[in-house]
Amino acid sequence: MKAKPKLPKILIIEDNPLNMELAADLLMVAGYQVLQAATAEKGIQLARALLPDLILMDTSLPGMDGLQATRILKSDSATEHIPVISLTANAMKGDEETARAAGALAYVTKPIDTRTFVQSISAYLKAA
Amino acid sequence: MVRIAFITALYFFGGMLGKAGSFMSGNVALVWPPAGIALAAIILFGYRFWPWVALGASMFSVMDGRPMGFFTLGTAIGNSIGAITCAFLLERFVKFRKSMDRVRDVAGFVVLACLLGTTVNAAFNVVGLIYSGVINWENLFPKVVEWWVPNAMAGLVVAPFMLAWASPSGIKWNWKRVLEAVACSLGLGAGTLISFNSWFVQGLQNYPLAYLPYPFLVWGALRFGQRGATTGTLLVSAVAICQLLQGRGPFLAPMEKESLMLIGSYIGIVAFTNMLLAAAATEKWNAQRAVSQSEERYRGVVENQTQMICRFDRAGTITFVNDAYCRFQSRPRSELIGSAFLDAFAPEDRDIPLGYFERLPKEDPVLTYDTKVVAPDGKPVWQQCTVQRICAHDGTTLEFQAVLQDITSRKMAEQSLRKTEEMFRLITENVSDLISVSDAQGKRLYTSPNFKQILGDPQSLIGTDSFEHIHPDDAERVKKVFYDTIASGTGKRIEYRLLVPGGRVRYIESQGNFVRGEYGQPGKVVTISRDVTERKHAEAALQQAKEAAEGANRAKSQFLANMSHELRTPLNAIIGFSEVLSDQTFGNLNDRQLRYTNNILNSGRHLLTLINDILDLAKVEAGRMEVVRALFSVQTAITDVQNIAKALANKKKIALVAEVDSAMPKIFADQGKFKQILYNLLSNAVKFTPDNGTVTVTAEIAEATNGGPPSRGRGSELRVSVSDTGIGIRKENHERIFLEFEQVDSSYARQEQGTGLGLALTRKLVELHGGKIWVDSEGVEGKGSTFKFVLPLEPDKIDAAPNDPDGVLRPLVLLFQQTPRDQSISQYLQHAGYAISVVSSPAEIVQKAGELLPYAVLISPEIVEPTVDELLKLLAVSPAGDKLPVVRTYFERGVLRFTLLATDEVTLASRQRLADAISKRDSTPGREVRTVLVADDEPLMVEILERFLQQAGFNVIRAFDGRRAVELAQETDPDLMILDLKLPQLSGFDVVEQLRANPKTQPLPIIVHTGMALTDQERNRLTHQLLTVLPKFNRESLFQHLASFTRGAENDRKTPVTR
Repeated sequence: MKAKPKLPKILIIEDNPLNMELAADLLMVAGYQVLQAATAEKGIQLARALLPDLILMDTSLPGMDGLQATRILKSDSATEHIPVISLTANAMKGDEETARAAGALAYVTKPIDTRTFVQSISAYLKAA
Repeated sequence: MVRIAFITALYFFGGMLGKAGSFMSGNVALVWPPAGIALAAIILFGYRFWPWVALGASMFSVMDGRPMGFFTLGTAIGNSIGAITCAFLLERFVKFRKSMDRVRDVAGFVVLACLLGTTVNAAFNVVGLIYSGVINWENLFPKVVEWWVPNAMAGLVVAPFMLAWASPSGIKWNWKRVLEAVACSLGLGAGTLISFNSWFVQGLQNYPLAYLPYPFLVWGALRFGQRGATTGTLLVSAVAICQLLQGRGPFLAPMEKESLMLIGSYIGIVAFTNMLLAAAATEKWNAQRAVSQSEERYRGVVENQTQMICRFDRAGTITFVNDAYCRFQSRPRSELIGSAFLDAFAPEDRDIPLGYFERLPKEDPVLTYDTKVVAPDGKPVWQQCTVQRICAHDGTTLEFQAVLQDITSRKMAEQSLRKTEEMFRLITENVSDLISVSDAQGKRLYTSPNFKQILGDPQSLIGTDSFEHIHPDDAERVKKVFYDTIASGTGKRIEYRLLVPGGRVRYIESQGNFVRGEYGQPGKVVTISRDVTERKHAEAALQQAKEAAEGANRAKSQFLANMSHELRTPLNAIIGFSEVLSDQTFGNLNDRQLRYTNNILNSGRHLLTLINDILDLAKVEAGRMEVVRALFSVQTAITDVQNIAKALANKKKIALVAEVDSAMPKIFADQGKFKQILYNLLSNAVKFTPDNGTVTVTAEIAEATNGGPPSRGRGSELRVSVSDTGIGIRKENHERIFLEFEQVDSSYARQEQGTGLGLALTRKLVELHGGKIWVDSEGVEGKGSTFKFVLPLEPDKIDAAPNDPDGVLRPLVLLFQQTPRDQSISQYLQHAGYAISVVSSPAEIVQKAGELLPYAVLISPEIVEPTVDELLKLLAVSPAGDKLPVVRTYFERGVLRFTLLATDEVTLASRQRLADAISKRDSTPGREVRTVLVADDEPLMVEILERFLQQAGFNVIRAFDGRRAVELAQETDPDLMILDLKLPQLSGFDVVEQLRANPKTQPLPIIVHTGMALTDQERNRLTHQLLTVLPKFNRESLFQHLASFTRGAENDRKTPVTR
């Protein structure tokens, strides 16, 4: 009997409960294990403790913002390998560069396209 | 009086003396003193004195024992007239001076008075004698001569004595003089006695030594003037006569007559000579005195002046200096005279050749120049030197005269003036402002150099008109300020435009000052100007930019506002459907589905709130948010809002408290906005307060402080505060929170999903009301924050014709309402475009009807019949009220309807529009009435109607028969028809029927205007098809209806009714 493969852990750092719920539900339905944090600080804590396989980082967070958190995670040897996907409501020019510069692998604009969301995340996980 | 007595006494005394001195058995006196006295009296006291002389003479005669006869009379008259004659002759020919200090006086006196005038005396005396019988006419001539002598002698001896002593003498008496006088008199007396008496010198008596007194006489005359002379004469005469009477003296001759002649001539010569001498001597003295006085005056002038005068000869040697010169040089006169004139001058001036002075022409031998002189103390002094060559007739130089005037102060003043002018010039030429000086008419006298940049070369501008280049639109204003400046001294700053050569416009800012002229010189206006063209351009550009920005802002707001519909429509679906889903109306949902549905719903609602807030904000900014005021209770409003917020509050177990004065009157404000503001603040308070906290609302009405802006009502404002026990707001954020999309970072805010717009919108709403909002907070958790706002309150009065922002005049209606809480009617009316004044009693209505002249009175449904009747009665009797339409209002199926009330008419069917009810028309869709079709066969009638209608602004179409009326009605589609029933071709009735039958013309309003008496049947037939039937020849009525119709139409135009 094959052991069930460990479910990939995805950490979502998002302060809006509804957005969180949507994203979390989508991923959980797809079979992922979802960790939730509402602030950057909490998120970093969880990341260091639980070492998820992917981090979805909302850019606008209370207190420390997402980009800063990304930089911190990327500079921490423990977590630097974890891919970070930026979630942003702003879709202005230059945001992509900023996100990448901070260390994000890619970014997803809100409102998220629920049809393709899970596939994108899976692709990023595979790539990692 | 004293004089009179004195003279009379003297006369008398003189008379006695004369008598005493008479010879030839007392009939003839050598000297007849009274004549002399009389003469002197008249000369001294004037012609008017003659009566007293006459009196004296008469009295003497009487006392003398002579009877009052011709002789007395003659003597009296004779003396008087004689004296008068003498005096007259003297005055006329000699201009006699009684002091006799001129030779001519003496000569005249002797010739005219003594020789000629006394002839008169003598004549009178002799005639008197003849008439009194003493002598005969044949002896007239010798007797006259005989009588002439004593009078003449008296004139020579007595009269001058009196005259001389009656005149002031010019002699200064000191004791030396007195001694002299005494000595002279003694000498004289001695001499006379010796010559006449010789009692101490024996044997001398027979020698003709009559000349002995002469030296003393001369002495007396020369030294003591006329007084001395006449005294001497008198003395000698008296002694001589006495001696002769006693038979002594050198004049004694065998014949008495001879003696008389000798002594008479002696005395006469003595008198005459003495007087002459005295006169001559006196003349000489007077002349001398005049000369010396004049000399003194001259000397005074020369010596006392500040000008220095000196004279020098051709060699330059000083011959004369005045005191001033000596003072200046600080050297005594003795030293200066003989020194060189040119020594006084500074070395550099010394080489003015004397020859130059020499060559000054005879006609104008004066040279004036300024020179610097070294004063003795070493200080240099400026003097103006005027040198004059004094020359003889033939042109040769006698000497030079130099007058020197100290002009140091003047020179220094000149120098300082020059320095000041230089400084002035320095300033005006180097300052960047434009300085100009003009006279009181605006003619330029001076312009500073930088005028070149504006108008051209300053030199060429002098004399030109200051107003020349001013822009014609500004010229009047500038001239006025210019003349005001002259009147008041200082002018105000003005801006104006100049049209400079080249056609460009420059903006100039100027300010002027008027400087008065001195010593009658005209004043000048000094103007300082600045070219502010660049500044003006910059201002204009700034203004343009500002307007552009504002325009852009407005455009954006406008855009957003317009998007209202577009944005809300999709939300309708989102919220609507998710609501329906969550209601599970069409089937149950599982938990997850329900949860998702609620998520959609909440997000949709949140989005809706956000959009609403944004749109409200945009609407306020675009100026499209209206403030609709009505009376409402603050307490009730607060309670309402708290009820809505209770849901939120209860979740966190937060208490909502209200502290409002229960006696607070209702306020007249926008209730909706008030609630909106309050709700915003309450929900914020609840959001930012932790569980178990308290949110308190307080409200009060108070006098307006300068916190709030002044409102029309002046005086009161509503003050509201909302305080919580939450986390507070730090001071640095007190202003920030009111900005759009500014949110204070906090977990609370995020959780509650604030929009960030709440306070910004709230502030805008408060400010729209004319109020202010702010926050008090220490920023300390637990102490919370207190938001405060004030709304100025307007009084309950609305102007009769208030303008709303669109500038449309709103007709005023009085709303009779006794439940002000209900605003449904007033809101409806406001939306319909009326202005409202709410009243609560019939009396008030009548009063306001008179004051405000409203369009109508509306009665709210709750008013009971009796009150309505009361109102109608009151209105019927009031001057303004009886024509006022009174309209009942009520709601029918949610729609407000109106019924026109009148005191005597049947209530008509209710109308949906107020205007319809008042004008009693069927509702028309609010068309403007522009064209009226008048159908009448009477041309005069048509003309009258046409005129009236045209004045009211309508077009008139005429029809003179029925058929034409129908045709025209169909063709031209008029708005109203006035129809006569009696028409050719087709009767009025038929016209109506035809028009009603045709759908096109069916709705045409018709007023039937007829002279016919209608049967009931006919009337009924018409009524339900028409507006109204009016009998003809009742012009009042017709016009009234037309008036109300046109007014209704006017109002229709102005009150857009939105349904």
